[in-house]
Amino acid sequence: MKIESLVGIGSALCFVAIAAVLRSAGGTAPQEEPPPAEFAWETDLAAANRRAAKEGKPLVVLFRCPP
Amino acid sequence: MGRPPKEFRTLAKRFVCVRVTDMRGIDLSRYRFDYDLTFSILLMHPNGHIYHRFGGRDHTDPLIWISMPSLLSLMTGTLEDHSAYVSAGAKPPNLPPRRGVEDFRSYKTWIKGRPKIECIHCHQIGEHEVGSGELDGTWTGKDIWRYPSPAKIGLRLDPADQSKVKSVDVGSPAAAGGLEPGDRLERIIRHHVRSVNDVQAALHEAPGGRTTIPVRFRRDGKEQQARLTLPDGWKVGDALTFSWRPLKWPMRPGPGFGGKDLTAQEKKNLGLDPDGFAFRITYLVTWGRNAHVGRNAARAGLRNGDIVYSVAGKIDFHDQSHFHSWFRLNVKAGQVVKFETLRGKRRRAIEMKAIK
Repeated sequence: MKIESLVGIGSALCFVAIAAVLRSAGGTAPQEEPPPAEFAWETDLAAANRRAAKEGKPLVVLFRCPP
Repeated sequence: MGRPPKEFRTLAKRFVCVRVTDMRGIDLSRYRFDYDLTFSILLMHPNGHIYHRFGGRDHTDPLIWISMPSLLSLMTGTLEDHSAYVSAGAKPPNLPPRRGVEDFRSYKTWIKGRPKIECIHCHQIGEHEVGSGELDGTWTGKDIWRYPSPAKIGLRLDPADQSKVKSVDVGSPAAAGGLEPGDRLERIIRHHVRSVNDVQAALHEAPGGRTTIPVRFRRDGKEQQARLTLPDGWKVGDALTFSWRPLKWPMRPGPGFGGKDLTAQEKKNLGLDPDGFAFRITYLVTWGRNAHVGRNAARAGLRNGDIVYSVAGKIDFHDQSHFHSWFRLNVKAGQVVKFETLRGKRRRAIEMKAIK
């Protein structure tokens, strides 16, 4: 499983788009999987740092240009 | 377009995941990684402490160290490290003063009068380091051997289980230090190792002259220590292993032209060795601050469409990137370089004096 499956997503917008397509097609995500909108890359580094500090979580900072 | 797998999404809930697509405004003192990469991950505490790095590549494969299982394993390990670090008081790192791409002198010149640009890529950091160093007269070219591969000290790691030693090169510093296949690396110098990129970051900080580095590892469950003695110049690589790095582009002198590698069939059709080196010139650098270098190539007689199949008698380049890397690492300003070329069916030898 190559990382491109991860980075191809690119941004939260992509997840929103996928969710919209699923809804418009009358389909739903499989029960055992969280809805696509549950995971999204943050795009504001400063805000991500503030949230990580507030929630006591570590950060995953991905440096990747748009394809 | 795919979705991250469930395992990633589940684990990601225990992190704050952020994607950076533009290096403008990024504090380079805080976010330190190999800027030549087009994909890199830092796993860190919000106070700037870096737990681990993920990514890395070599000239053979841009994805050699990148896989989802190895990322998931690293994220799982990072949660343990985060917990231990927080329990120990989470002492913030002592970071150097803030520094951004905007502080580079060459960037200030480069950005002036440019139309709106979409982003600054990671690899442009290195280009501005070289460019600014040249403008300031501080660039010596010695600082190009960055984030050395573990292979430089004789360590071959397992891409799927990156802190595990797969093999040790005979006669290498790692072999002399007593490391063996199956050993689990834990710490090199001050870096906690869980990925190949962690090893590279540790080696990056070690001096390039003769030095000794401490390595802590685990063998058969028991913790062990080794000291590896690295010879003078141990970081220095060769044109082939350097060829993937965008850092080569601003280095001078350059040839002033480039193009597209020929396929085996194209070479065969032209009567060239199908397995040999050959590329078609598709551009001469006629723009920007290096336009004089492209004009120099044109004056020497090189043209768009010419096929280059030998440079200074060398025909063993793997590809055009290798040629560009070799040229920048080996050719000095003022040196005359002979190119064997094909224009139509006519073979021509063209001599060009390299200029900065």
